[in-house]
Amino acid sequence: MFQGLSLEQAPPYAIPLRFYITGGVYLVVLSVLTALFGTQIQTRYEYEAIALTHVLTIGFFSHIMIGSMFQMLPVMLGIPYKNVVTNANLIYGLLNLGAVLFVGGFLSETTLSMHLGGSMLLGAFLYFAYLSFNTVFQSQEKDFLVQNFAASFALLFVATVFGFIALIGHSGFVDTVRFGEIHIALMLFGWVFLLIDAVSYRIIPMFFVANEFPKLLKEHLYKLILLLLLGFVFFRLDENLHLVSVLKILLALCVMVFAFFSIKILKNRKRARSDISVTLWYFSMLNLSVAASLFGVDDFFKTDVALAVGFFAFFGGIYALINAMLYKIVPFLTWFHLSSSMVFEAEMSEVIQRKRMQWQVWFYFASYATFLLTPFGSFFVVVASILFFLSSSMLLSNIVGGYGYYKEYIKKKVDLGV
Amino acid sequence: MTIKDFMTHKHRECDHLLANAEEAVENGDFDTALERYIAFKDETLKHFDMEEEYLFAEFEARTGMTQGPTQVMRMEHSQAKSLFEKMDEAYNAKDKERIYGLGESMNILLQQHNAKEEQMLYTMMQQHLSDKNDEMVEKLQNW
Repeated sequence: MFQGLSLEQAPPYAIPLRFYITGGVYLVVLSVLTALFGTQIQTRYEYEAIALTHVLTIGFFSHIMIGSMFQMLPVMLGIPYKNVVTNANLIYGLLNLGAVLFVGGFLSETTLSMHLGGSMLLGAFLYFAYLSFNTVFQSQEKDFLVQNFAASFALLFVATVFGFIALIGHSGFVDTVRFGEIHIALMLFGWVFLLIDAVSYRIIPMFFVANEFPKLLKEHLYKLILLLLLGFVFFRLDENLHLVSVLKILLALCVMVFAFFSIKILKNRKRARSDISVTLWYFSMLNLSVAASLFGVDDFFKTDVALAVGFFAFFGGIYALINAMLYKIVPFLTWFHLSSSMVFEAEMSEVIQRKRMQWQVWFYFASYATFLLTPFGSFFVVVASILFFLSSSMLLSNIVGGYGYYKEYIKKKVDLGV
Repeated sequence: MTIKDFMTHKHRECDHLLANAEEAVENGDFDTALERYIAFKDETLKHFDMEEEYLFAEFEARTGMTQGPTQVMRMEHSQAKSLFEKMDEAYNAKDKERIYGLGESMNILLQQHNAKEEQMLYTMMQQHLSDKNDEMVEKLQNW
């Protein structure tokens, strides 16, 4: 029986928007926490560093990525999530309770809170990964797109398990650093990178009327990454650090090849007009390349460059890409749900004013540039955090404004009795 | 050639027609832009006709599925048609910002619509109508 394209099975507008708005709130919180704790952080192993990283990765990245999957999988693969409202609510609840307890636990050094939060996050991510993995295989076509998505969800599952072991390993029964590194590699190169590449393979050619990515990349890059990550897990557990260094270089090369083709394809796109999303996309790919280069060769440095890798990958790379996607998705979703409700007066370009998007991104760039100055004085951490507070508040306000636009037009329709 | 290949190729043609119109707008050549926009609109509406009057009808008759995916696709065609009315105004008024804004809506609407057809509906059609493939492709080519 056909289970596919029905508007009733697509999530209501409020579902992705709730994830997006909550993600925006975490971003504002992050900017405040960075101003408060950022000046003290020296290494990534400090509790404050772990807490701040997870406000960004769980609070912002995961909310936007999971919210978008609920909306985009039905569109990209033609298959809806089963019981989407119940499942989305369940995952949203676990994710938020878990994130608050987990981050709060690290900031207050309360083990019980860390473990309780970690358990809820374990539930949220494992259930989401399982649900999404099953959903993509319902697709009529089992093509490269389905395979890339499936690989990403499978690695999210495994990465979560390693992260949880690293967390409870604090009591001493495993080497937390070793499991933590595996967790980071699987999350970054598996869940996040493979999801970015799957979405890009579809989105870039379609939305920018550009060439397809090379077949070799679309069909085989994810297999290579799976293989490299498998090797990484095995040799990292075995403490064979020479082979781990080689695998890190190869993983870094995979990211750089992907970034190179993304930039090349975007540069030759048929829809010539540039907008803030295109700028952010370029910016993201350049940052991911810098992060990958540093990650690939960091074993050869005498100083620890992990914080720099994290900055370029998380703040310059993944954040910028998500920001770009939000400015495509939120206006479209708002307009699409309005016109599906027979409200035809609304226009997509009015949902978020172009100028407001530009201002927000300029504040983000200013914050990024100021963070680069932090080796010259911790004073710059505070200035960069203030600039990021302005940027993230504007992003949040732009998303909330989109929701307000939707409510306003729906209300007009109800008032007119249409 | 399969029905799916033919219709997918038509999607790409329409994408390029819209991009061509926007390119002329970018260059400030509004007469050419209007000409190209009309070509895009005509081709897109012809594509909708092919689907609604022929392909969907054949698919529904073969499967008995009249309230499923074809219904949703028809609804999205209506959304695109309502956008065309606004785009007509914007191109005639040579309103560059509005042309881009509406062009963005049209592009994303069509892309997500096309993705659903290519990923799901055309594949289903191909499975259910494979015995009539050549005859149907020929009819679509002469539409």
